[in-house]
This record gives sequence, structure tokens and C-alpha cells, in this order.
Amino acid sequence: MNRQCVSELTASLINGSTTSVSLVETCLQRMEEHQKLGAFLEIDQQGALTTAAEIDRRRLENEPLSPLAGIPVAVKDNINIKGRVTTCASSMLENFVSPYDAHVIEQLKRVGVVLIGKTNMDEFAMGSSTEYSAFKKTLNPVDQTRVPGGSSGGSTAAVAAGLVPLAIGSSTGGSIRQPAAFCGVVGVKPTYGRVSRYGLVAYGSSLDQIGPVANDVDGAALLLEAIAGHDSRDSTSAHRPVDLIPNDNRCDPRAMKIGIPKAWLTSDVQAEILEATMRLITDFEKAGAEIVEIELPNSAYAIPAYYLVATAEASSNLARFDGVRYALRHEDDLNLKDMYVKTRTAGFGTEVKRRILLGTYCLSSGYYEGYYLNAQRVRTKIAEDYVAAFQKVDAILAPTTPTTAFAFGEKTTDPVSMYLNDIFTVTANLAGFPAMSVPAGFDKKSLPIGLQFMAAPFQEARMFEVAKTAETLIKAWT
Amino acid sequence: MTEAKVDAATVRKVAQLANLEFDENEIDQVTLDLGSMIAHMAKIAELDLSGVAPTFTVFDERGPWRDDSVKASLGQAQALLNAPDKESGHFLVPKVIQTKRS
Repeated sequence: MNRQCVSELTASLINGSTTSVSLVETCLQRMEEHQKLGAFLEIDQQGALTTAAEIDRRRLENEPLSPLAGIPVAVKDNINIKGRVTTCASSMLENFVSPYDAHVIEQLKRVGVVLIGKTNMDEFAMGSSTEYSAFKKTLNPVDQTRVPGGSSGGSTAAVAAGLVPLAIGSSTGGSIRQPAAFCGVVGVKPTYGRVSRYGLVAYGSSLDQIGPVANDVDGAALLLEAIAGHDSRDSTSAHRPVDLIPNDNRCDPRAMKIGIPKAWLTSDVQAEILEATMRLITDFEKAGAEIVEIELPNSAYAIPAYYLVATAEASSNLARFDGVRYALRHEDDLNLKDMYVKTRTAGFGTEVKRRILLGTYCLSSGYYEGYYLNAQRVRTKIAEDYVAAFQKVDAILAPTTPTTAFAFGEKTTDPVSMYLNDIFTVTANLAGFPAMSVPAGFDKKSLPIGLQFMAAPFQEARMFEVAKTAETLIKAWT
Repeated sequence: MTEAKVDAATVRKVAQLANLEFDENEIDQVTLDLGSMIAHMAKIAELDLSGVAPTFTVFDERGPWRDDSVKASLGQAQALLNAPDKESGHFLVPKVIQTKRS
């Protein structure tokens, strides 16, 4: 099962040429063989085999099953699975056992997916390389001297290495699309509100969304459809019909309008990524699509606005980790306030502390309006740019990242240089619309290139149709 | 916007607000990092934001009405499952005012 698409696996399960137990055994074997990649923090071998056997039994009894039934799926370790450890790759939560299932886990269990393990990530999802995990490095399966991206680097590495066909990640500023681009897989950040955040450990609550990682657009769409939908336990969960599967009859480039943010395509972007972008634009145009140049004048302010909003929300969200109710407590003969400080100082890693500090600073007296409130105003301006753009086009096409995967240690010494890697992805989180990364060949070092599609809020199905069309066009040159 | 000035004293003050502490070996680096992050974030001051409403949440969908019925919630034992210390069904914490024994 080396990087198989879900449609092939489902077909094999239905025609009886394989079983879910056999798929799970293959995954477990590959996970064992590729332990060095460090993609997983925990593997639930017994649970996975039990679920797989149950699905195989139900299939034999001709029960109607979902196309995802019996398919192994890996889950990022900031999503709660009842009875399993959820660490967020932090020493703070090293022994935290989830008392309940996240909404997405309930949904996945309902369709009969096999939950096979929890994947590595940057601590509390704060990072773009998975180097900030408190427990281990995750290697990029394409080039093991390089990072897989982050923060969902474990999920994308697991799919790229063929350890699992599907995985779940989470995105606050690009944490699914950027590692998907670095590893050469498909990654989707859905519309804000499309997937319930109930049971996702919060980082930036107004930005966080859970999304799928897969080997192709169809697999990602299928997984997203399974986890989407309204949930009353998340007050931002949207009441919208869930109809996310791309319609093949609508994958006609002649009926597509593709927006290009020309101002993004500068020499700051790696040459091969620019070439891939231009090539796909040309291919779309040749195939009959209408190419429309669009303006996104406030893009230059997206990174500052994003890091101000995200860290402000993080400083508030992470206040709950104080040694009272969960996992780590610094045990010493202390008073309550000292216990909070010692616990948090011992439990959080460097980058998490940096972001809590920045967030606390910009919410503090004298700085609140200039930083936090103005960042939220910039957010309005950025959202307005996109509303105007989406009136003219079905989807916007752009690079996912300015460079391909970087080397370990290359950006950890300068936090701002790490943040700039998110330059093309943060706007979708700030303005809430859906966006995805699709593999588009390799650079001269044979590192994967990812191209991004963005669509109007709740237009995931249309975004998938455009991305599927791109997938076909790209296949001709890769 | 208030002019940003980040020195070690600022870092200590903000750290105290965030219930964190940094020792002498760390403070210079943390000050440098926070300073460079804030210098980058200050770019938003270039924009004229007068009259622009802030976006706190992107799609302000009104919550739907639902029946006011009692639903099961996390039980006490489950809620205490991960407590570092507990007693008689409560979270146990150190005394609020207590000095170190030495």
C-alpha cells in the first residue's frame, strides 16, 4: 500500500480483494519499518485491529457501509480520542488521557474509519516545521535532511510515506497546507465553521479549523465530508448543507474562472515554484479556463495581523494550563501562584512561551488598541479584498509556500523568518474561506512543490472541482 | 500607536502577567526575540484603519434556538481523571498564601 488513493482501497475492500484487517496490518508494518521518520507519537495497534475486524465482519454480512469504512486514518495529537493520550506534543500534556471524543472523532467512528494512531506536531500547533515538538523530530519522507513542515507535519509525513492513506490535521495559519506542500500530498483547510472544533485543543479559536490530508483531491473531499457538519457544542459551527464531493461533470476548465494574485508572484518566491505556478496557469488557459488577474492589496499586512490575533488568542487559551485540572503540576512546597508559574515554565517549550509573551504583550494595557484591535481591523480589510476577488472568480490559484522544504535548524534561530513561511496561507484563516494545497511536481533538489487553491466561504465543492482539474493537468507534466 | 520598547524589564512584566518566568541566562534572548517580533508586527501601523470595524469572528451566524432540555455532561470522575491532585471529588491545589519552608 504505497501511497494508494482511497478510491482504490475502497474498491478493493468492496470487491473482496483485500480486507480492512489486511490494510491495517500493512500500515502497522510500514509504520514499524519507518519508525525513524517520527511521524507518530502513539500507535493504537490493538484498537485498530479490533475496529478493522468489526468492519470486515459487517461487510461480510452485507451491511451498507461508508466508502471510508475500514480505511486507516491517522489523527493529529491535538484532537481528543476518548481513552487515548492527547499530548499536543507538549510536556504539559504528556500524560493527559482524553475523557471524551472530539466531534470529528465521533463522526469518523460513525463511518467506520480505523483510527490507527496519533501524529507528531509542533507543540500546541505553534510552528511551521514540527521541530517544536517536545518529543521528537519528524523527518520529511522525501528528503530526510529536511523538515516536513508544520504544524501538522506528522500527519502529512505519514500520508506521504504511505504509512496511512488518510490523516487529519488542524490549521490556524497554514498548518495543513504548508506541510502538505512540503511533503507532496493534498491538504485542505475548510471554511471556518465547516468542521466542529469541539475536542480540538484550542490555539487561536477564531482561526482554528480541522481538515483532511490525502494522496488525491477525491480522498481529501471524502474525508472532509465525513467530518463536516453542524455541532451544537461549537458555537461557531455552521448550519450549512454538507455537499462537498466534487462533481466530475463540473470539472470542465472551459467553465472555470481562475484568479491570479499577480503581486504575489515575485522574486521572493523560489524560481521553480514560480515556474510551476505559471505552467499551471498556462495549462488552465490552454484548456479553456478564463484567467483573471486579481488585486489583494492588503496581503503585505497579513503576517503581522495573523501573528497578533493568533498569539493573543493563544495567550488566553493556554491560560488554562496551570497545573490545577490537567496533567503536569510542578510539585514543590509552593503557594498557588508559584505553582502556576513553575508548572507553566516547566511545561511549555520555547516557541509556545514566545507566542504567549507576544499575545500577552499585545493584549496588555497601552498596547491593546494599537496591536490587537488594529490587527482585527486589518483582518476586516483583508477579508474585503477576498470578497471582491471571489465575486470575479471560482478559485484563486497561488503558491502554497514561498520555498520548498527547508533544512532542520534553518529557521529555528529566527522566529520571524519561520513566520514568513506562512505568508501565502494565513489569509485564508484570517478571512475564514477554504483553501487547499495540491502537489505540483518537484524543484531541482527533487523536493515537492505545492500549489494552492482558495475559494469563497462554503464553496469547498467548487474548490475541489478546480483542484481536481488541476490534478489532471499537472499529471501531464509530472 | 504607543511606541514599542522592549527591554528586559518589559519581558519580566509581561511574563508575570502570563504566569511564566525566565532566568538570567534566557532573558537577553527572549528580549531580543520579542523585540524583533513586535518590530515586525508594528507594520500594521502603516495602514489607515480609521472607521474600519474589527473582525473578531469571521461568519457571525446567529445561534439557532433549541429545546431547553437536560443533556448528559462529563461526569465528576471523568472530569477529575487528569487532575494532578484531588480529594473528595474536588481538585486539590496548594494553599493560596503559603511561604516556602526553608
